[in-house]
Formats: sequence, C-alpha cells, structure tokens
Amino acid sequence: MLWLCLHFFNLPVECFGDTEGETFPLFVSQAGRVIGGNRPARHLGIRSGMTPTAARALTEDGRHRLRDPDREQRMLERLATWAVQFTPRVSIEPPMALLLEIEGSLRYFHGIEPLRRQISEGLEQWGHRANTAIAPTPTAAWILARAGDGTPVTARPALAERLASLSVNVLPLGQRATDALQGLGCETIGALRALPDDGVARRLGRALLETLQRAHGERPDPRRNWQPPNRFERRIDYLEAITTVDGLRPILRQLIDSLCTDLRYRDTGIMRLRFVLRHRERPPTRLPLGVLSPTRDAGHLKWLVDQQLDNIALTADVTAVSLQAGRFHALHGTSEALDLLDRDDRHTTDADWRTLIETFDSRLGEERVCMVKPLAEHRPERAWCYQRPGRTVEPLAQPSGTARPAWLLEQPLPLRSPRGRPEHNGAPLVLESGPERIETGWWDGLDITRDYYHARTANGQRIWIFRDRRGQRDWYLHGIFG
Amino acid sequence: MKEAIHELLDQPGIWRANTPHRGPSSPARDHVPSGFAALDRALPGGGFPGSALTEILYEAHGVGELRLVMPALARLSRSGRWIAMIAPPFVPYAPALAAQGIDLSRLLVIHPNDGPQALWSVEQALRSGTCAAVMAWPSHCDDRSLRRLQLAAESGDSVGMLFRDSTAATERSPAALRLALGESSGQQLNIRVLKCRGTPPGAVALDSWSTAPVRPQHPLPLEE
Repeated sequence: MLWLCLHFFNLPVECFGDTEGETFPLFVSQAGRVIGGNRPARHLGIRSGMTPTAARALTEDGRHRLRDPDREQRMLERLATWAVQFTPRVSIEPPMALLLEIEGSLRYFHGIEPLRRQISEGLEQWGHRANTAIAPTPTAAWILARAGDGTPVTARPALAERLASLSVNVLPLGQRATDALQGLGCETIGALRALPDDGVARRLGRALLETLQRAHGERPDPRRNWQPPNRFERRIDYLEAITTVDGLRPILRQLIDSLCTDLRYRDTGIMRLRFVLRHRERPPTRLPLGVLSPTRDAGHLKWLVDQQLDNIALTADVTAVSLQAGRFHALHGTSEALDLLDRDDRHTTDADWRTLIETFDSRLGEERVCMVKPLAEHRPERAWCYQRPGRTVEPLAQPSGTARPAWLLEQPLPLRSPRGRPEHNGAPLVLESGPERIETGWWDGLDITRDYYHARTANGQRIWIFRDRRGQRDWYLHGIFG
Repeated sequence: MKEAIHELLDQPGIWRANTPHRGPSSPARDHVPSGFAALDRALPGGGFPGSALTEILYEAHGVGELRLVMPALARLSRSGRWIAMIAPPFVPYAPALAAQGIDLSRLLVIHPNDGPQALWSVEQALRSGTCAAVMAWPSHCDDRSLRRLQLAAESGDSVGMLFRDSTAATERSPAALRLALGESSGQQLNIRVLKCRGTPPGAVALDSWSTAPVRPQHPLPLEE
C-alpha cells in the first residue's frame, strides 16, 4: 500500500472561505497567538506566534477571526469528498490532514507525479495550500507531510532511514513528552527509536510509542474510508423575519451558490432540490425544484427559482430558509459535449426542450406538465395514463375495434334518456355507429359492461357515448371526437 | 431597370393582400400542409402558415376542430420537434391520438392553473424554438395577448393553433389565419376563411368528413 498525505497547514485560515484570492488581510488567532493569515496578511508581515494586537497594528482594515474547529472539520470533510475522485480510499486525519491510499490509482493516473500534479492543480483551484508526502504507511506519510518532506518513500526498507533524520517536533507531542524529550537530549526520530520501547512507553506515553510503531509498519494502522454524505443541507436563520418575495430572492440564490460549490467538490450534479421556508407558528412552506438532467449550473437553477418566485405570494413571514438536496448524479457532460459538436438541430432542440420543461415545472408545478401514454387495457378510462416528460412513449399495437375519440371525459357524464333514447342538451342524439361491446375487468372488481356508440348531436358534435348494460341501463357521454 | 416600388415590394417582409404568395419569399416549408387537399388549395402556401398563429373558431367541442389539424400535427410530431397542448378542455386520449399518427413521445400536455398562466405557457412554448406546433385552448385572449403570441410564434418558428369560441370571430386579431368551422353535416365540414395573409376571405367545404369506419346516414335502431 502507498499512502499520500495532504497536510493543510493553513486550514484554520482557509476554512473562512477562499481567502487566498481576497484583497483584504485576514488572520486567525488561538489562545492569544496568531496561527496564520491569508496572502495579503502575510505580505504585511503578519506571522504565526504574534499577538493579535501586534498583528492588528500592521493592518487597519484587516479581519481577525478566532480559530473555529467546527469550520475546519467541515472544510476537511468537503476536501475529503473532493478527494474521492482520486481514490475511493480517503480518510480524514484531524485536525488538518487527509490520507489517500493511492497504490490502486497510480496506473489510472500514469504514476505518482502526474497524480500529485493533478491533486495540487485541483487544490490551487480551490485556493488551498497543502504539503504532500508519500509513504508506505499512513502514519509515516502524515509525519513526512507535517515535516514538509515531499520526496516520496515508496519502499518500506527506506522508511526508517527517512524518518530517522526528522525532528521529534513533527510528532504529536504533549507538553510532558516535549519536556521529557528535552531532558533526554533526544532531537530526532532516529534517536527516539534507538531508545528501548518500554522505556519510551513509560516516559513518553504509550500513544507516542504506538504512533512510531505504526509509522514504521510494526503495528497495524487501519483507516476508515471517508463516505461522502449523500445529501446536502444548508440552513440560514434570520433574526428579522423576511416579509417579501424580493427579500427572499438573494437568500435562495446564495444557497444555490453554496450547493453548486459543493457539487463541484463532489464532481456530481443534482436533479431535485427543495427549499424549505420556515415561519413562526406555522408549518413550513416547501418549494421543490427539479431539472431533467443532472446539473450544477448555478445560473440555470437561479433562473428556475426566479420563475417560481415570480409566481408565489408569501403567506407568512419567513424566519429561516434551508436548502435540501438528495441523490447526486454523475454529470454526463451532455451540455458541454453538445457545444463542442456541430450544433445539430435535433440536439439543440433536445437541450432547449429540457429547458422548456424545467421552466414549466418550476412555474406551474411538475404535476401540471406531462405526457400521455397508451396502456394495453380494454377499459377506455384505463387505456391511458399521464407520465413525466423525458421518457419515450412506446407505441402500442392498435387494439382492434372502432375509432376512439381524441378527447376523453375524466368522468362519464350521465345523459338524459327519456323513453330509452339518449339526449344531449335536450335534443335527441343520432347514433351513427355501434354498438361496440366492452365487457371486461371482472378480475379486479372494477368490471364494466357497456355498449359504446358513435353519436352526433343536434349541432354537429361527434361524441362517444355508452349504455351501461347493468342497473338502470343508463346512458353516458364518455368522449368527444373533436 | 426596375422601379423603386418594385424593389420595395420584393422585400420578403412585405406581403400584399389579394396576391397569393407562392414565390421565393414564402417557400413551401414555411407552410404545413393540412392534409386536406381542398383546404391546402384554398390557403396560400398550401397549408397552415408556419411561424404564425392560426385561430380555429368553433361553436362546440367535437364539430371537427381536432380532426382538421390532426394530419398536420401527426406530420409535425415526426419532424424532430415537439407538439405542445396547452389547457386542453378534456383528457387528450392517448390511444386515439396514437391511432391518428401522433408520435406521443413528442407530445407535451400542459395544464395551467388559470387563464394568465395559460397565456404565459403558450408564449413560452411558442418562443422556445423547440415546439413545431403549439395547440392551445385559452379561456380568454385579447388583442394584445394575441399580438404577443403572434410575435412568439415568429421568433420560435412555431405553428400556433388557438382553439377559440366562434364568438371571437367579430374581434380583431393579428393571427395570420383565422378559420371558422361551420356545421359538419354528414360527409362535409364547412370552413369559412375569415382572414388569411395573401388571399381574400372565402369558404371551403371538406368532403369525406366522417369518423372511420363510415356509417349509414340513417339512425341505428336501438337494441332492446
């Protein structure tokens, strides 16, 4: 096995957003000491170990943040989710590192250096800085990364020698262990390894001994693979309730941006998402949104949201908004691919058509946008159904029998029939053809026994009527030929 | 040398009433054959105008308004673009539509909540460029919205078919073609051409107008 460790030494700063590209100086402190800053802060001479007061003296408009371990953890999880594209075996090494088992991926990425290059290009794009190191054990990779030693160690026999020259300070040491090591005059890992194991365990703690043993491959070092959460949820709470749709718009747009950033980390797309608007003392309002093919196009999603917002009225003030998205889908690259191909009419039409459906969906609601599909069934009211657009409708073999009407009534409409002769709007109907007997459905209790006729009304309408052969032998209007 | 007026009149954007256009400014593909020879002969270009609105005015559902457009729609549904049905008054019955040659995987059915949404939907569908034809049953449609829809049909290169009550015949309309359906008696459907770009108003009677299979003209005896 071969492990690559990414040590995000500036994570306490980076977790506050893409700060490297910003123009304002930002520094982070912990326990009264600066622990890092972004590029503008570093340019101003703000260094780790300064007091925040000294740092603030160097910058008037700089921003000062206290270290936020929760943010760091979330950022690390995001990075882990992103790293899954390089290997399925990614594990998190809190507080600032990721471990990637890369042996299985080397062939795919054509070797260590191309893989490393790809990883560092990706990190640069996200504005992250990391030390990378490669070693046969995860702990050794982690130690090398903390030491900033990027030369890969690929063979286990070379491992002890490489670790031996490193300072003991790269090990995770408590104050007690640091003091003890100083007392021993022990400065390198090699010197530490020369001491007897039980002595190290007694004086410096068993945990440190075990770390050393894991690093050297003398003790198993199992890791749990990172499983990216399979849903996205972000919530924004407001102290002042939002009272207008226009007040809501920027918030929904902001949430879409953060969703799309997340999707880029995951290298996936989304087809369904849902906004939940929370009110005081009222059940929440849900705004679902769907697209027909996976996307992470923030502009398109915002446009769909705008369509929906144009069409709603806020019934109550909104105190919190959350965005939930489940099921992630691989992007097929359809839209990008299509732009590269010749813009064949049919293809562009398909893309435009998808946009049209999504526009209808978001404005009218999905249940109002459909296709019709014939079903193999003799009962006329069951010989069809609605379905969601986007699927091919397979034509059925035409059932034998007389012509069917283009319009069907949702419910058969009773017709008056004085003296057994059916009437429509008070005028007798002229029967033109029939009867066609439909007698079926005994197996599910919804059986019918009907005689269908084509009929013409006094004002020239052609309609489809039937006489129920059971009960009162009543007449019904069931379809219109149009 | 041509006179200025002739050069002007050669502009493709100009059409002259009473002069049926069959020249290069309105090639055949700008029209969709209706599938009814008598109607195609009566209409300039030989069918329903493309990229424009057609209004079909009728008194009651079922007098033939759908069968009039079915052959054209069946053809368009196989053209690679889509057919949209907006605010249909009843369930579009899949087995019958398939039997009439409509490719149902190209047919979109939209049920808007109300009149304004219906007009919005029609405009979206017409303008999208992805619908070869848009059939709509708007509950209300004034001159201004018709004008919008006409423009949308032009920009989306779509055949817009509005099915409206015959009382609308007296209203002004920017539609390129307005047909009023008269009574269909037996084998014949009478159509009045209220307005048609490039030809004077007139009337057409379509023959062989009946539901297949053809049936006797006298009433059937009821089986008791």
